[in-house]
Amino acid sequence: MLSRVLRVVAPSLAIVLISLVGLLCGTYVQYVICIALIAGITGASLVLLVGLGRVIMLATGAMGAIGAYTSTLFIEHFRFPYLLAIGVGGLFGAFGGFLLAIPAGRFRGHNLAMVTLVFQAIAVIGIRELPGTGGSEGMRVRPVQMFGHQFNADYEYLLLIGACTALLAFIISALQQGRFGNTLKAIAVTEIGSEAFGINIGLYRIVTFAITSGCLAAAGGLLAPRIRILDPETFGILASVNALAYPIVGGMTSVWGGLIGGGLLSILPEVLRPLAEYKALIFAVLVILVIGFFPGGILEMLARIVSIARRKPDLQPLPKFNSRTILVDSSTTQSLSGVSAPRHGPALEISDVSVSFGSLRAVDHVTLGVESGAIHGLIGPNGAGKTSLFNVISGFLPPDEGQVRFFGESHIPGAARTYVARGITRTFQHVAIYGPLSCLENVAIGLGHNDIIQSIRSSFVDPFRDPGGIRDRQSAAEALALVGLDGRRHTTASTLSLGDQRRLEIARAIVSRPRLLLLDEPMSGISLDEEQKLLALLQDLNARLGLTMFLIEHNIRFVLDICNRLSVMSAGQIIADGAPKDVIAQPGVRRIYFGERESALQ
Amino acid sequence: MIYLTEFLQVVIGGVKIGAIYSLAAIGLVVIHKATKTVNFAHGAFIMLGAYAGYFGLKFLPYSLVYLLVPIAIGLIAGGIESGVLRSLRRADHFSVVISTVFLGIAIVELVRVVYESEMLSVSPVLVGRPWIIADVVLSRETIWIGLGALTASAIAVYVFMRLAIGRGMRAMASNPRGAQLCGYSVDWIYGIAWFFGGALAGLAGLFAAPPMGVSPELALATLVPAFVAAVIGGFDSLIGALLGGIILGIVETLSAAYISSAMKGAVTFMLLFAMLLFRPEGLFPEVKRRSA
Repeated sequence: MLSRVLRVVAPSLAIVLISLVGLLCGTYVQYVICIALIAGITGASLVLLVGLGRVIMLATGAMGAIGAYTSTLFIEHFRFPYLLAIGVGGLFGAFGGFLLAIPAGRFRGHNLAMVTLVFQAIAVIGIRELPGTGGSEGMRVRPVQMFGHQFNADYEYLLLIGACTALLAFIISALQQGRFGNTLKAIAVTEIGSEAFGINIGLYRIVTFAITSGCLAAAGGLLAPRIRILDPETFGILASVNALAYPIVGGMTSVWGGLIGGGLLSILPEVLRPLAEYKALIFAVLVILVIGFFPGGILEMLARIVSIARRKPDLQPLPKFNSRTILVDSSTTQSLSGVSAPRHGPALEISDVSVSFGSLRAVDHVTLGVESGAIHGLIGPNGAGKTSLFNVISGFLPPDEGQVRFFGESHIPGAARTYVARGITRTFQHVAIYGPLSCLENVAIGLGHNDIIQSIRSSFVDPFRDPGGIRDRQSAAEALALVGLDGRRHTTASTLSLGDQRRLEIARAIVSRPRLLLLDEPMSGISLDEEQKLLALLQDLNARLGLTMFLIEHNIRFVLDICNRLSVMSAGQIIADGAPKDVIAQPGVRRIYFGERESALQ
Repeated sequence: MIYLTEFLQVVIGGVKIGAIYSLAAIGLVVIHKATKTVNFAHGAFIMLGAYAGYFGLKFLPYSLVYLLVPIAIGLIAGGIESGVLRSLRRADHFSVVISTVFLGIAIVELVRVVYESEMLSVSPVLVGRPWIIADVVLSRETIWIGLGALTASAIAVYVFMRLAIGRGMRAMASNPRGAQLCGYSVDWIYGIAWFFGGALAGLAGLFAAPPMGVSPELALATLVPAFVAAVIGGFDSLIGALLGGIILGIVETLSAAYISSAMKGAVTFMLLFAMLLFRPEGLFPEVKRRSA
C-alpha cells in the first residue's frame, strides 16, 4: 500500500529534492536545473504518447509554442495571474492535441506521425504570420508576477518551476503506473485483443494525445519567462525531434526514463559548450545508437547493472497443474459462479448471415443456433468461412446480410468493445495476450472496466485508497487460480509457454463472468498433455458456471470429447448440424472433411 | 478574360510545383509499399539530391547530372537501409520509423554544419524567352520542371506496376515470409526499394532546386507535401501519389494566390486532415482488405 503510493510520488519527490539541492548552488547552475526540469517533464509527457501509445510525436515544439505564446498573451492582454495563464496554455495545448488525434480513431502509427509533422510545420508558419506573436522577430516575455511579487532571482524561478514540474510529474507518473498506462500498453501489443475486452482504442489515443499535449504546453508556458524572448525557431521542428530523443535515450516505458533522458540531454549542451552547434547532430546519432544497441535506454542499462550486482532469486516452482484439485476448492469458484447463465433459450442465434469479399462469398446465408449451457463446436475444411463467421459473431466484421442475436436480445450487435459488458468474451487463434503486462494485469483488463474516465480516475485513486481496485485484483487472482496460474500472478505474460498463455487467455475471458465464451481454435499449437488439461478446464467451467461455449477447432478428437453439439461448415454454408457422433458419421461430412471417397464408405 | 488568364497562369504554376511533389511522393510510396516503413528521411534525400545537383553542375553537363545524381542518392538510401535499418528491423517496426526521423535530421544537420545555412541557387536547364500561348506565359523552366517531373513520375509508376520488381515488392509488403518462401530475398527487395525510392528523391531534388532553392530547409519543405500527396492518393497507390502531388500543388498555389501566402500551409493541413477524416483510404484506394 505504502510502497504503491511511494512509487507514484517518487518522481515528484526527486524533482523537489533536486530543486532544494539547487538552492545551494550558484545562479547559473540554478538556471540550468530549471531548463533540465522542464526538459525532463517534456520527456516524461512524451513517455505516455510515444512510449506507451506508440505514436511518433513530432509536434512537441508546436505544443510548447501553444503553451508559451498563449500563457504570455493571456498575461499580457488579460492580466491573468501566472499560474492560471499556465493552466490556460495547457488547456489550449490539450485542445490542439485533441484536434490532432481526431483521425486517430481510424488510424495508427505512421499516419498520426505525419499529421503531427505537418501540424508542426504549420505552427511555425502560423507564429511567423499571425498578428500579435511578434513574428520572426520574437516576443518579449515579462518576468513572472505572483501575489504582487516580481520574480527576478534564479532561485525564485527554481522554486516555482520545481513545484510546477513536481505536480506535472505526479500526474504523469500516476497515469503511467496506473490502469491508464496498463491499458495503453495493452493496446500497443494487440489492438484486436484490446477491442474485444471493451477498450475504446480511438478514444484512448485521443485522450493520450490531449494529456501529453496539455503537459507539453504547460512545460512550454513554464519555459517562457526563462528564455525571455519567444521566437518560432525555439519551437521549430528541431525542438520537436530533440524532444523525441528524450524518452528514447532515457527509456520509453517509464516516467523515470523521460525525466532522466530530458534532464541529461538538456544539460549536455551546457556542459559541452563548444559542441552546442552540433547538438541536433549529436542527438540524432545518440538516438540511433541507443535504438540499435540499448533499446531500453539509460533506464534499462541501469536496471541491468543493478540486476547483475544483485542476482534475483529464481521463480517459485509452479505447483503441478491439476484442474480437479483446484476446482474442487470451492472458495475460489464461489465468487465466479455468482452469476449463472439462464438455463433455457438460445445463447446465440445466427440468422441468414452472409459475408462477401469482392466476388468471393465467404459466408453464404448461414443460420445457426447455440443453446444456453451447450458446448457447441464448428468444424470445416480450410477456407470454409469459419473464421469469417467467427469474426462476424465477435463483432469484428459487419455482416453484409443477416443478423446475430445474443440471448434473445432484439437489437443488432454493436462494436466488438461492447461485448464484455454484455457477457460475451473470446479467445484468439493466435493468442492475443498483453505480453509486457503481468498475468494479474492481463486478467484485470479482462474485467472490462476499461472505460476511459474510470481508468484515469483509478490511476489516481488506486494507489491511495480504493476498495474497487482491490476487489478487481481479487477477482483476477481467483480467475488465475481457476486456470492453474496462481503461482504466476506477477510473471510477465510474454514469458509463459504457449499452453500457459492459452490458459491466461481463458482466465482473462472468464474473469468478467461471461455468459457466452467464444473460442477460436483453442487447441492450436498445444501439446497432447496440455490438451487434456485444457479439456478438463473447459468442461469444468461449463459444468460449474453454466458457461455456454462456441468454438472453432480442427482437432476432431478434442471436439468429439468436449462438444455436445457440432456443426460443419463448407464453402460458406452449414452442411451438417447435430450430435457430434451423428454428424461425424454423415457421408457428406466424411467426404468433405476427411477426404473419404464414396466408394470407401460402401 | 484577364481573370481566366491569371487563373490559368496560377494553375500552371501549381502543376509545376505539384509535379515535384508527385515525384517526391512516389519515392515515399515505393519505399512504403515494399517495406511498410514510412521514410521520414525522404526530405533529407531530396535535399541531398538538390545539393548534389548544385555541385555536379559545376563540373558536369546537365544530362550527366540528371543521370548520376539519382543513382548516387539511390545508393546512399540503399546503403542506409542495409547498413543501419536492416539491423534495427529485428527489434520492431516502430524503432525503424523513429530511426528514419533521426537519420533524416542527422543528414540535414551534417549538411548544415558543412555549408552553414546560406541558400544556394541553381539555374534552370532550359533558358531563353518564355512561350506565350493565349496570353499565358510559359517559361522554359516551368516546362522543363513540369513536364520533366511528370514524365519521370509516369515512368516510375509504370515500372513499378508492370515489371517483376514491382511484383516482388508488393509480395514482400503483403506477406514477407510468404514472399521469402517464393524465392524473394527480403534484404534484396528492401535494398532495391530503398535504392529506387532514394533515386526518385534525388531526381525530385534536382527538379526542386531551381524553383525552391538549395538549403537544409528544403528537406522539410518537400517532406511535408510529399506526405500529404501520398495520403491524398491512399499511401499505397503510385498513381494516387502522382495525382495527389498535382492536386496538392494546384490547391496550394491557388490558396497562396487568392487567399494569402500564410494560408498555404493551413490549407495543406486542412486537406490532410479532411482526407484522413473523411476518406482515409485515399482517392485511389487499393483493394478492400479481408482480415479483421
